[in-house]
Amino acid sequence: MKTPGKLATSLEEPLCKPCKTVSYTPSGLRIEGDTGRFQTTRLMFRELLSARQLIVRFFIRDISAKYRQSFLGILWVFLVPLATTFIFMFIRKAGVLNIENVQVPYGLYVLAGISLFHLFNGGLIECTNAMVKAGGMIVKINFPRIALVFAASLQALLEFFIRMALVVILCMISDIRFNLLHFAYSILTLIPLYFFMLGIGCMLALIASVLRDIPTLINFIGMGVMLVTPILYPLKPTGTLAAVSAWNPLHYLINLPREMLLYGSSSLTTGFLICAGFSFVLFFTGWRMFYVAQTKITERI
Amino acid sequence: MANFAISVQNVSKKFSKTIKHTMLYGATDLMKAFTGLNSPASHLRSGEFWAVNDVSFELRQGEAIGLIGSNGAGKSTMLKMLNGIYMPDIGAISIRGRMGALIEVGAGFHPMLTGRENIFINGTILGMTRNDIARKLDSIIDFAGIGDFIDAPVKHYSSGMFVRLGFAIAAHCKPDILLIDEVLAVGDANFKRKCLNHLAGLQRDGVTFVIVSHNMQTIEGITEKALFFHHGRIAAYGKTGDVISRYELQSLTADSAPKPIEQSSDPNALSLVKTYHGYGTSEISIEKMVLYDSAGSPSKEFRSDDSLTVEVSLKSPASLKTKLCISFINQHDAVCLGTYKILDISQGTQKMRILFDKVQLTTGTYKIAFHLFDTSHTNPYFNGHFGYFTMRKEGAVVTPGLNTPHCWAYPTIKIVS
Repeated sequence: MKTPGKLATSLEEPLCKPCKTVSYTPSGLRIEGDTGRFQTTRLMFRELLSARQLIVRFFIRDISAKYRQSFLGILWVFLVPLATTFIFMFIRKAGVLNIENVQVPYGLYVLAGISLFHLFNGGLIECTNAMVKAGGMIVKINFPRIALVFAASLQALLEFFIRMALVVILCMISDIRFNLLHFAYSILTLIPLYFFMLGIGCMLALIASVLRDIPTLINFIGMGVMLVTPILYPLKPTGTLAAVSAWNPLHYLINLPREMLLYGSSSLTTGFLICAGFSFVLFFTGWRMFYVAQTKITERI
Repeated sequence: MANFAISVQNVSKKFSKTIKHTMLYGATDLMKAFTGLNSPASHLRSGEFWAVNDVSFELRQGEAIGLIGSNGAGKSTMLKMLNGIYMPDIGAISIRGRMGALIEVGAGFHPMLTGRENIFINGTILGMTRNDIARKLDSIIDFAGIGDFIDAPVKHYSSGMFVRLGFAIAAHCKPDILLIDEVLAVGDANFKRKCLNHLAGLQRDGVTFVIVSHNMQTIEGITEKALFFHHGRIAAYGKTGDVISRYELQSLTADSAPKPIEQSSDPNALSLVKTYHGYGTSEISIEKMVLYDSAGSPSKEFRSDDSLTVEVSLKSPASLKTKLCISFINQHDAVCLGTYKILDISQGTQKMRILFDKVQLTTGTYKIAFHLFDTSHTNPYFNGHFGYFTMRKEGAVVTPGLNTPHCWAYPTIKIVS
């Protein structure tokens, strides 16, 4: 064992550089000289900015810890959606479910849909568990806790892109012509879905750290949502499902990027634009809720 | 306010006693926070209590303060508020400078990742940049002194190694203000010394310290000011030595004292609190034992640098040769000081004065064991314990009992009448 040496951390920088006074008050953190409107919003962005390195660290930590002790490693990212796709292809072929024909091979249609849905559902599960998994650290160390949620969402995003690579490869080898512009549109149009997930994720992460039944509930509800949302089947223009889907933001947020990728166009543009706007509002609300509530929640963990 | 590092103004924090109330009030408080309807928090709802109640103090840059008090007195809650983990319910805390914390070091470690990987993660959590960490990596590994284990997953570490690494990372942050909570209670003696040396170095560099510890020596060694928390409130605030004395006295007297066997009618007199029935002849009776301070007034409270005179009124049936044994016994029933002398006692009532100058006992509650033996040392004419009186330490009384830096002078023992 090495002999512990002298610590090389004498303070090279002068103490108490012109630093601003930070105040902790019943209404939260305040910074000297920062008053007026949108104070909380400024503090939120300030926190996020200061947390960017931490987000990357947590992201790398979660990824490496997740796949380090697993035999199949990153292959799991493909295996689950592929298995689901094969099951539904079999069910359809066997005639158990009457699923109409789509313009592209059904397997590709389902795989693209499931990949997009996993960005929402998988991301939501990761975000919801982010605070719970951090455990005692939250009450022992003061750090920007939003980093946990953002890092969790990035993990879902990475896994989505890995699945998307599979979809792209399948597109190329199947008879549909892969169009780079369509791909770019589809990536661009999935941004609202990501923020939709992150907004709900922020809210649920906090609630789950106090109410531990939330993660179980999310898994359960996720399955239901996948079946109700037209992901595994094309939507018929009439009927109950069509009426429900008209009000289901996931229908627009998932199906428009999929149609952009597979068909190059979509009839869902208006609904999508409304839902995209709603997603950004939802994200901001969730983030703000997280920011305001985090210290109050910490006391109750 | 001019040059403060920490300013705490009328800070209070309340918690709920039950989970039911925690959840209920948590939900309503959150709703109010979102809607901007922050109701005044000055009253307690049913099931709530003040964990910290109306605490104010100020620390200037480079000062060190110790927070002491029994378990649940509010020290750690105060520390968490200073760290920004909890917000106060009332009042405000202002901080000037970069805050560092040595509270449960290694709290953010991921068991699956190696020590090296955890250095990067934990360092970032504690606010270091990637470049900072990369630059100090060797120094951190060196300070931790865990050798090749640095590349092993943290889950294979011993608890000592875990703490060493945690401390090494935290020690390499460069705070202006450092919060420390019982962190020195772990690790082996060598590492503890290294940590203390490191803290001393930081102190020389002008870092402001806030320390929570149950080890009074640590507190006394590092801080010049202390705060004594009692049920969330400040019970004493001032010079460390004084505050520690107050705390020790209070925590000792909180233990229930045994009931006296004989209570003297003189309020200044000590009571007979213990006697050994069946041991000795009880021929000599003690009528009264009174303690006097250096000014000659009867007292039951002394300082270690004060003189103490024990005046014993006794009655003997005959002229006797006796061996006087007198000793001070602390609250743990340990004999801390004692002396003896062969004396001639005449028939009838008389007074005996025994002067201890100086008494040199540490802070605590004491009783006096008083024995008058016969010459054969078998059957004492009297035996018993008288109590109680309290001591407050002044100067350096290090070990309980004898004050090592000073020699205890042999007492003057006189029979006066």
